[in-house]
This record gives sequence, C-alpha cells and structure tokens, in this order.
Amino acid sequence: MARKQAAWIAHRIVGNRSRVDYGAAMASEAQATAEHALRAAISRGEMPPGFRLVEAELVALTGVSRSAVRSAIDALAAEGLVERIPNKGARVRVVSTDEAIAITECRLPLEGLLARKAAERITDAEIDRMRAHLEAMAGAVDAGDVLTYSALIQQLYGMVGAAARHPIAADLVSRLQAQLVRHQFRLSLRPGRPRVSLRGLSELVNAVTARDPDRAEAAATTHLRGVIAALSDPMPEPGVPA
Amino acid sequence: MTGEAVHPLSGVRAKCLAEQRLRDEITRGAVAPGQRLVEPELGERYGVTRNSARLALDVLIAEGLVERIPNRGARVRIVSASEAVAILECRQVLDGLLSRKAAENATPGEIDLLRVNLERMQRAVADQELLEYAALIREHYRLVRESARQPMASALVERLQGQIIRHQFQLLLRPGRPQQSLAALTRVVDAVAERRPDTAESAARAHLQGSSTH
Repeated sequence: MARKQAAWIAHRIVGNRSRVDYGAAMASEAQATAEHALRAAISRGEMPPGFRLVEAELVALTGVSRSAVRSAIDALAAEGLVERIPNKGARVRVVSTDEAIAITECRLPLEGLLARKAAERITDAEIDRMRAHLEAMAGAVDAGDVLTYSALIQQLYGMVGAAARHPIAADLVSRLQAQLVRHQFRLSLRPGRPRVSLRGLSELVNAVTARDPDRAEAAATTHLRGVIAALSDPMPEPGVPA
Repeated sequence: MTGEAVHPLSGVRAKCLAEQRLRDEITRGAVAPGQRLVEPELGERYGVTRNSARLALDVLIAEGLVERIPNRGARVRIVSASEAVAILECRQVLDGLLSRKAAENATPGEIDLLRVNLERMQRAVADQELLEYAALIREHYRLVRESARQPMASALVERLQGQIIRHQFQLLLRPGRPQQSLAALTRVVDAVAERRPDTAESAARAHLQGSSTH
C-alpha cells in the first residue's frame, strides 16, 4: 500500500475522533444521520465496494437534504470508505487484498487490547448477552446463513469493544474494520471457513466471559492471525471456476 | 529580514508551512494546551495569509492536536491524563506490531542504523543528557517504522503520538526511568537484529508499559 495513502487514511481514522468529541459544532444533525446510515450500509455490505452513491437516491433513503448527503459523502471519502471519481460521482471504495492484510495486522493488537480490557471490565449483564450472541452465531453457522453470520461477527466485535470501555481503541478498530467488510464476507464464503471462524470466536467469548485477560488477548490475536493467513492464501472468486 | 512589508504567502505551500510550524510548536510544547490560536496572529507569525492559517488549523483539528470551541475560535487541545493513558495503550500495542514487523523485514543496513542509534542512546543515558535521549528515542521509533514496512501502522502511531508527546517527556524525568527505558529498547534492537519477532513485540510493549500509570 502506498505510504501516502496509508498516512492519509490513518490521519482520518485517528483524527476524526476529535470531530466526534466536538461534533455538535462541526457537523449538522442531518449530515450525521446520513453519515450513520451510509456507514452502516457499507459496514454490513449492503452497499458493496464499487457501489455507486447517487445523491438523489440517498436523499430518498435517509430523508435528509441533498447538501447533508453530500457532506456525509465527503466525510466518508475523507475516511477512505468512499471515493469520489471525477465527473462520475462517488462509489464505495475497493480495498485491495494487500491493503486488507495491512489493515487486519493493525487491528490485531488493538483487538487484543480490547479483548483484554473487556475481560477485566465486562459486567454480568454483558456476559449474559455475549453468551446468547454466541449461540445465535452458532445457529447461523449451522443454518449455513453466511450473511447473518457476517453481521453477527461485526456485532460481536462491537460488544467486545463496548465491554472494554476503551473508546479510543474501539473507535480505531471500528474504523479499520469498516474497510474490511468485503474481504470478511468473501472469506466467510470459503468452504469450512465459518466453522473455523466460529471456533476462534467461541474461544474469545469464553475467555472474555471467564474474565481471563491473558487468555482473551491470546484468543483475539490467534483468531485474527488465522484471518490474515486466510487472506494471504489466495482463493478463486466464489462461483468462478478455478 | 524584518517581518514588515513581506507579502504573506498563500496557497497550498503556505498552508503546509503553517501546518508544520504549528504542529512542531505544539508537540515541542512551545504553545501550551488550552492556548487560544487566533488566525490573523498565526498568519502574521508564519508569514502566511489568514486563509492559509485557517486551513492549517483544520488539518491539526482533524489530527486531534487542536480543537474548535464553538463561537470562540480554536485552541491547543487539552488531553486529559486518562485519555493520554488510553492513547498510550493503543500506541503500545501498535509499537509492538511495528517492532515485530521490523524483526521480519529490516535490512542489514537498517539493523546497523538501529545499533548505532542504540549506542548513542547508551551514551546519552550515561551522561544524563535527557533531552538528547528523548530525541534519540524518537529516532529509534522512526528507524523501526522505516524497517517495519507497515505504513498503515506507522501512520496510526505517528498521529496518536502527536497527541501525547508532552505527557511522555515528563515521564522521562522520573528517577530511574531512563535506565528502564534504555533496557527495554536494547532488547528491542537485539531482537530485531536476531530476527525474533515475538521477542521484539513484547520488548517494544514493555518499553511503554512502565510509562503508563495504571
């Protein structure tokens, strides 16, 4: 990945936090609404890489003004989630495999930190919710419902981040994570991959809910090392004859 | 040359100039947290237009070094002690990643540079030259980032670091801290030179471990 591009994306990933802190003065509520809706749709893969963002459609979707939609696109473009193409509008940015690996490498120690903190700080109620969530994940894998499973993984990371009570790391991770949705989804389409993933994430949940910080950190990093190994191992596009 | 009658610079270069000078002043501590930053004054100080000064402020706001106060302009951002600890924790684990990658990817030439820098650090600590030592630590991290070939992590660390640099220099002034820091960095350099990624990662984390206050 080009150094300049990395610096630029990182700049946004770290820097936008101050906009969250002092957001009221910076971004209008309408823009925040549009930004939230777009970010969620991109993170969930509903707007896949290459998806064209048409302002008029987004106005209809989010119910805010066109200028608010445009500001939201600008904000996401600055973050590297969206790219503007001269004379052709904006589209969801394509993240290369190399870039996805580099981003996952950065996520790895930060997820380890969050898992550790979550194990130290998780409440009883959060433990119950996380266990129930794990059962839902196992159910999705048993049912072969890859789409639901992908969404549940994102939610699990969100729950770990919340339990960690470490907004700075959680925020960095969620912004890194948002760039990886396509790769994660494609990974989960590989035969056998969801079972492997579920085993790794079960260990993470078990360690966090057992309030064992060392084991939780190890589980998070081991799981993501597996993700990096899988990403590094090129496979044909699903559905394309090898 | 006097400041008078010099036409203020404008455009992208002026913005970059003002941005670099102000970032440098904030991270060196020449301007204090909470200090008001007034666009015309900044323009005059750096010899750039007011508009260039405003654009430079926007960049530093996005970096988290400066904050806007509604209706009152901008000021150097105040990072609380607990926020500094949280930022440091993120930096700690990312530094671990960079040292791991350096152990995997450093060239022999880069390892030599790390060794030379380590010898300078040893001399600075022996001579109790703390300012010099602080500068050499920065050089150590720069060399590790270069060797790691992980531009995303490097950029994240640089941005995080800018926000807490002042907190860190104060830590070096604690009794025994320079020796502790030097021992950890020595282990990092040795592990990188011996191509032991796991050791390099844990040594790099240990370097910052002593510096957070939890």
